[in-house]
Amino acid sequence: MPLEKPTNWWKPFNKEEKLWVTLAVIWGIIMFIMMPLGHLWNQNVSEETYRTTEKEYKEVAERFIDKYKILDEAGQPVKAGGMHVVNAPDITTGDDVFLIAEAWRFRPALVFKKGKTYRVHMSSLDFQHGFSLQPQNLNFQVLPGYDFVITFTPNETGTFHIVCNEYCSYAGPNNGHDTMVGQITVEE
Amino acid sequence: MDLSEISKQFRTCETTGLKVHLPAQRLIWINAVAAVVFLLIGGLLAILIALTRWPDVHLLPQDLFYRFVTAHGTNMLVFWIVFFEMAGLIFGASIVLGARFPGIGFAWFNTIMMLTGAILVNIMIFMGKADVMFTAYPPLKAHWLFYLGIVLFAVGALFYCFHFLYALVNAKREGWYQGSLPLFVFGLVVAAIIAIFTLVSGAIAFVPTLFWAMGDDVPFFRELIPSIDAEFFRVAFWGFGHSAQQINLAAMVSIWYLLAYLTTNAKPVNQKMCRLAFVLYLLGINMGSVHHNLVDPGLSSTYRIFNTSYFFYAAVIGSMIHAFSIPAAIETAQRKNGLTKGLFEWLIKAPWGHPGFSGLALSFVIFGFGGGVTGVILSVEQLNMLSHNNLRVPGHFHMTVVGGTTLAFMALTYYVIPLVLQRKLVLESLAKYQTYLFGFGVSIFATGMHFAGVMGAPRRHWDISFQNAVFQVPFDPAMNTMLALVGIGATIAFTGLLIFLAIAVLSVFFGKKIPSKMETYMPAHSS
Repeated sequence: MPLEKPTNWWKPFNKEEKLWVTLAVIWGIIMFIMMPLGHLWNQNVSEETYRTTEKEYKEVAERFIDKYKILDEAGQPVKAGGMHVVNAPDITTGDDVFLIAEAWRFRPALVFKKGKTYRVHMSSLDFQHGFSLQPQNLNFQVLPGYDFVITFTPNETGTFHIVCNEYCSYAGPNNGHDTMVGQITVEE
Repeated sequence: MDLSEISKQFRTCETTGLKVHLPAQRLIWINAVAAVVFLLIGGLLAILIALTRWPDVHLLPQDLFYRFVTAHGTNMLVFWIVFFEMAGLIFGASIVLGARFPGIGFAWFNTIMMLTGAILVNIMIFMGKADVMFTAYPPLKAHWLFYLGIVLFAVGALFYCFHFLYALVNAKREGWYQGSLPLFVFGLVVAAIIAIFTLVSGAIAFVPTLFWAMGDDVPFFRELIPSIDAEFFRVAFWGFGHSAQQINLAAMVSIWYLLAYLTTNAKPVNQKMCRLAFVLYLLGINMGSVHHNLVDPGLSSTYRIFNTSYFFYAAVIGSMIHAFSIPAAIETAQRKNGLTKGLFEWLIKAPWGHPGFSGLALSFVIFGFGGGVTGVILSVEQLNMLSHNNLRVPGHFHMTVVGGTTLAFMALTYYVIPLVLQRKLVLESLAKYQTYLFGFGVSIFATGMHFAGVMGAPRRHWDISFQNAVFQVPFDPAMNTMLALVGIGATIAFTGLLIFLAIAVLSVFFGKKIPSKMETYMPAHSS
């Protein structure tokens, strides 16, 4: 019994036990190699990260927004949900895309072209945030002080949303973690 | 105190014949009662939170929702569970071994320190000074007394773990006990070692954070620690936050073996195998903490894959072994009792009407098949991108911590109250329905959470309709059904919880006292 002093508990495994443990070990190894194997499919979490500061990232990202923001016929910046709309430059331009997460918005609203490849930087200017692309349900952690770079190629067109899925405090029903949404558009 | 005086502090349990060290019994009482009080607080918050996540009800306002999620997480994942485990450690080191629990004064000091910490944390949260969630990720900052409370609680629990190990050594040295430890206590030793790792990680995360937060009031600390690195905290925190649940795992599996014995007289068929599985937990399980960091910036894939797989799933193999040996023990015992017809008579004619057995069975299934399987899926590096921080994660851990650990602890409580705390169970007839209500309720709401998460529902989110946001997010309408399941399942589970609390509280305070003989009891092997 589990409460008694065991007598001679060092007994050999019997046949069923050996079979079960062997199967479990094999299954464990299969599950393990799925992850390194996954790196062949090119659908992996990015490893590319740089140290930054909130101030530095803000400067770089604001410069990016200024350079690529879309202007209407009157020369006024086009806005969506109060955010600048930006034509994202693909990698052939040599420029990167910068996304700011801050309490409580993602900006700018990015416009991508289907089939082109982009390098997207993400960092936070204040709290920890979560980048959750909907409806794809693709999620990344966005931290202050870390510039996380994701290289991706959009393969469908439409309007997508970025929901913050890391709690980042609140300041009333109109302002807070639960109102933090960004927009991404992919065009033909 | 000399041995002759100590030997007068024992009573003999009339049902089991176990020798109970009375000062240890009082310690178990205070820790168990504290655990249940925090379970009550956490449970009341749970139903309010679940009914807020159900969009058609949307009960709480924004500020209370986040405050209550913080309080719910902390009270349930830390205070309820750890207090109960401390009671378990004292039980294992004294009553099970037939030994005294040495250093009673030190133990009381630690219990009081833990209580002070837990109360302080609750006060700060409910005052609205710590709306930072259980995870408390910097740069979110709570009042420093919140962090102080957590540190006090963790230090008390850490001392308890060392105290437990000392008590085991002492039991042998004074001759109360000889030879190998019983399996149940062996499992608790594994839990205590995991707990030491866990609590040290917690200190690494929270002590600098405490100083950083104190910087608001004391300039010295502002200069000492001007900021906390976000990723440093995340790695250290999860060494605490997730490993704390691995303490539960080891303790819960030990309790499974105990419940199997208490309900069907099952004895482990091969103790070598069971112990090997516990050792695999010890070696591998804490690496799993990294599956909270799989989509974080700054970590390499090698680090992620190696750790999140518990080193080739060593710890999962441990769980697979228990998944084999616990039913095997029950089957062997049942067949010995003559239930030999066909493949499954032993299972069909098991004592399903007994809360100890149904609690064990439900806990086993919900933990293993619901929680364990979802957990292993979530912790795959590539798949984690589809689940990080959405409701799939709480769906997983409510199956493990609530459907698994909490249910096992509840089932054990029905034995602890009469056998250790010497009170007859009040409303005993309700107990046999309680485990089913609770188990099914948890399964329903955790399944709802899981599928809402699959559809993209973020966790810890007050308003997924995004009524006040600049963009509306068109989620799959089926998500509403899933979140309704969360509300309905939580209501059922909450009913089960209330029945448990009623039985536990009424029995402990108003139950008929079970008399017990005081008998002088000396160490059997003293030199």
